[in-house]
Amino acid sequence: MFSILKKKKSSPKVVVLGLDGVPYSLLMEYMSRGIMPQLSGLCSSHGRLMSMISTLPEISSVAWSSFITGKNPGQHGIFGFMEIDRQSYNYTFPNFQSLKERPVWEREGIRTVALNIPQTYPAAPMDGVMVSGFVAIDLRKATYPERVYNYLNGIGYRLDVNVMLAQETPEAFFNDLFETFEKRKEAIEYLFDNEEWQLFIGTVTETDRLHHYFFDSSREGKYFPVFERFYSELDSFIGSMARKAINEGAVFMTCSDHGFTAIDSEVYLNRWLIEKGYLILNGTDGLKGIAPESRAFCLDPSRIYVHTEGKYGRGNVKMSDYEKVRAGLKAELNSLEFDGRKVIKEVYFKEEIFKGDFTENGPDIYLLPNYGFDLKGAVNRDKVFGTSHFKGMHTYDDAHLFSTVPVDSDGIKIEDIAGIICNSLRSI
Amino acid sequence: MDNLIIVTGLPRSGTSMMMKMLEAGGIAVITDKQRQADEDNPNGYFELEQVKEIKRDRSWLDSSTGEAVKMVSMLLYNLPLDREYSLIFMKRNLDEVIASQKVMLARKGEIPSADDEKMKQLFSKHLSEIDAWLSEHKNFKILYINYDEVVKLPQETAENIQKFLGRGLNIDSMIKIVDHSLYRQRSTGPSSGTEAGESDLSEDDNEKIREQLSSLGYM
Repeated sequence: MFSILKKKKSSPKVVVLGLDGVPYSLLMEYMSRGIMPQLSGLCSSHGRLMSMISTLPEISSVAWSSFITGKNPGQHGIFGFMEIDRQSYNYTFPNFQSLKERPVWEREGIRTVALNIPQTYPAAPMDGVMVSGFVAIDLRKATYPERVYNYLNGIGYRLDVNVMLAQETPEAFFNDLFETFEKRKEAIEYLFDNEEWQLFIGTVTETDRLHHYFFDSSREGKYFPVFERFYSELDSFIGSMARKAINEGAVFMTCSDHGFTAIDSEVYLNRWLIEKGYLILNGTDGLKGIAPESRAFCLDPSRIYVHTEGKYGRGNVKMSDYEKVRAGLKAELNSLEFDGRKVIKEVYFKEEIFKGDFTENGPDIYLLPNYGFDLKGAVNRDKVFGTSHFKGMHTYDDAHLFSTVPVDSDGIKIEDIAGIICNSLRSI
Repeated sequence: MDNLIIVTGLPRSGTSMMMKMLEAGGIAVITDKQRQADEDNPNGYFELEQVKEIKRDRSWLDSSTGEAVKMVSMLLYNLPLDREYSLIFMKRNLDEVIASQKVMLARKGEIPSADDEKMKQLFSKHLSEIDAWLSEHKNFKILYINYDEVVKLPQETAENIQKFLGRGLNIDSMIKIVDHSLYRQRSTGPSSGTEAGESDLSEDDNEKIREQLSSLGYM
């Protein structure tokens, strides 16, 4: 279905359709079940779909920051959606300005349209167009330049789905999901057609929202028809964007920032730390009430920090005891089980997974769970294990990359995409 | 005797960054350091208060040779035409200039005096006029530099400046200034990642972000 298109000879261009949280395995299954014929056609005639690994932590803010910079979290400095102030223990929220490394378009001087990439809020002036993604809260602050804001405001563009609806009335949530997706597609196609760019990145995040609340229906179940409809529409959009890209002579890619799987149990790590005597919280104000005797605490999703003296206002763990505390935590976390199943797949020390000038800001220990165990940094739980309205969790592996240019898929990870983009722009 | 070097352009067109580059390159800069560094120009403004009064007091010019001074392009008309100047004229995409000016005004709690389109027209008109005026006067040796070029090609830019001024400059140090300036809002050192105050967002914004994160199971 793509072979009849006439390719234009023009300056090198790359189009990336970001599909937040869309697993490789789900795309393979939907193609085999006939839900995604356009992607299937693309795989047959124009490129290859491959499994890809995310970042650690395997969350959108970190992974998309690696996508746009081509760097490890130790280099770009984003380790999560939130941090804590080391003196007051208040939560802080790193944003686009907190990024320590330049996005590839800025580093390489590539005129770019970047729409709805998580962790790019607030928008900053750039050579091209920026429409920030999650956690954008104000469209004006999320948009550069202003004329694009005027356009988006005019069409009723939606920054995000109202996910609160998912907990109350799923039908209202689904309506909101499809409406937001319509606006997203409209904006992506408009900017594609009306802006000048060498690199075009349009990201769909509705996928991630649907997965968080209903991933247990992704293959069968009560809400499977919603998945079927959504992915069918997504498939049409992928086909449409691929045709546009190929017609422009551009490289076309789709990618996700992490995979997804169903949740068996949430695991509240701060509760576990409390029960094991590592964390003592006074009062009801979470980590703000951390006692000096505390040796460790956790931030979402599974970032464990040793409460060291000098680094934290109330920290009391001497550096001479640092390794002992880490080793003790590792041993105990490795033995954590739920219904006879091992919860933690890997316990990493920071130096094993981060590299770069900002590694010191990363967690002292990072935990990668086995599928089904959604690790949480919540501080208000009275049990280590529990369930909630969330049905889907991120995975480190099983993200995907589709590319019309040959890519070495062996061990490919999201931070490699920036290099593929640059090579494509140089070699076309 | 070397000419006075004047770094000029619209406000927020990269003139402070250029001053810092020249300083790093080994050129003496004239500044009274009255205007303190802030979030908008954390490396300092490199301004000389007397420049703003050049219409009334030009005495400082007589003792300045071969040094660099910053002057917004609107003030160039007031320069005495009895000597020669080396002008480094910074140009920047007007949308970016206006956006940057708005950010600076917002930090001060001020609002722009005209809408973006009007401002763009005014700036565009001024730049055409000053270009024409400069071309009519032989006192000015001019190097035009686009802000984008500095960002994209710092080495080439530094080498062009060296050639233009006809003096040996420390090119490596000049390049480092570009990187640092670009990341001034982002990079404050390895120890700052979890320190308070790195975000420009308000408390209200942060509360909304917290709610958004909660809705996806964080916090």
